Amino acid sequence: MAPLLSVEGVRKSYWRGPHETVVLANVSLQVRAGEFFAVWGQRGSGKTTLAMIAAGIGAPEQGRVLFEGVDLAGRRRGHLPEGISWVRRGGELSGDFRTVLDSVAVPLLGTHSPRAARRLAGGMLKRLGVADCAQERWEDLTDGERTLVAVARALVRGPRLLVADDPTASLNVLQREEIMGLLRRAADEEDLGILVTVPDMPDMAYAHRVGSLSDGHLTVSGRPPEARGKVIEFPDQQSA
Amino acid sequence: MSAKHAVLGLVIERPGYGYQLAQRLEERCAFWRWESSGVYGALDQLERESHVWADRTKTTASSGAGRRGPRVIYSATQRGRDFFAEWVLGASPPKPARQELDLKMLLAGGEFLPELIEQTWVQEQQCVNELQTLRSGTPASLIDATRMSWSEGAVILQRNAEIKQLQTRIEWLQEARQVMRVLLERDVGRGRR
Repeated sequence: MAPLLSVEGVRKSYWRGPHETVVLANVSLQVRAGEFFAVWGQRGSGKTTLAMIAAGIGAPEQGRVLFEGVDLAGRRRGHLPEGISWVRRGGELSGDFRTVLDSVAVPLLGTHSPRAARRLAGGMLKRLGVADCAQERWEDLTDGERTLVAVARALVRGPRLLVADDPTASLNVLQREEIMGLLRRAADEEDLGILVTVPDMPDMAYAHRVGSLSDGHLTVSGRPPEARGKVIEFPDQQSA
Repeated sequence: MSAKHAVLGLVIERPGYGYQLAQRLEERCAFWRWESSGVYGALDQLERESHVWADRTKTTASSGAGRRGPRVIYSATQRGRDFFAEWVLGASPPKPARQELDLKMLLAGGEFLPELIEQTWVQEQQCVNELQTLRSGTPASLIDATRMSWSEGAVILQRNAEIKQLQTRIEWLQEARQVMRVLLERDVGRGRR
């Protein structure tokens, strides 16, 4: 089975004055459909950089990122590729929305009527157990609710790959278990590919594969889940 | 630590026969990786110490066909319950990490720095692999955190304790590597190597 996401030999560095800091030296990873892949690293290890590059939001200096076999290079930056959803640190949402329901419905407005978008958004909030928050304002939510709403907003687009950067920031252990368990179910039941960065290793417990990021290198362990009878062929198979 | 206290705790929770207890021990304390054969040794010892009572007269429903004798059902005595409570209430000193690699670092001269740096990578990979083993001990049915029982919560806490120890080790290895690399580069700069 071809990977859904293939990050190949990615390099990225930042300049602070005359000093170059190599954040990602040569990082490769693959995420398959239905696979939950978690990356841990200390603060400043490059987790966010890696997540942004994997989601197609950032560009690598070297190497390439293939989503469903298609190189993400050359795409318009700052816009998520079709099929990829992104959850940023702590589930922060941008934009000013009247209600939580509207904030979740927004990603659907390009393809759905406002009424249909709100209906789907309401269904997703219900599925994640936060239907009660639908009419509240974002500012009034607890950290746990915010994260669930952000995940709802990412899932409502029906992505094939979800990239989440530190989604469990500022949550307590039970809330973190809940979010990670929920993501694992989405991988298992809906064949969603998931790449998550975490600051705390116990959060990796539900992942199929885990990686530790340090000194610009990723140390990986584990096996991807067995393909569930579905053979996926992508146009570009060079990565396999 | 022996499996004695764990087996006694399970017997107090619910009487059972050896094989059942070994299975329950595996479910509840998977991360401790006790041999199931250790359960029988622990039960013998607990019986000798009168912490459990072995009933050899009962026959369980499933033990009829093909079994020669009745199953031995173990239940806790009052003495056993008191012994267990005493253990629960007693202090639990933390166990300091003393690893071979740390000792090598303490004793090896600067000429070994490149090899020691390499060893931090090897051990980091081992830790990440170990993490994988720990995670496979996680209950297969994912727990709904909002509805979990205390015993399910305790399993998660135990798993987290094991994983956090690994995390601390990995963080330390990364730190150690950083320090060794800085010292190595400095020595190379001074032409000592």
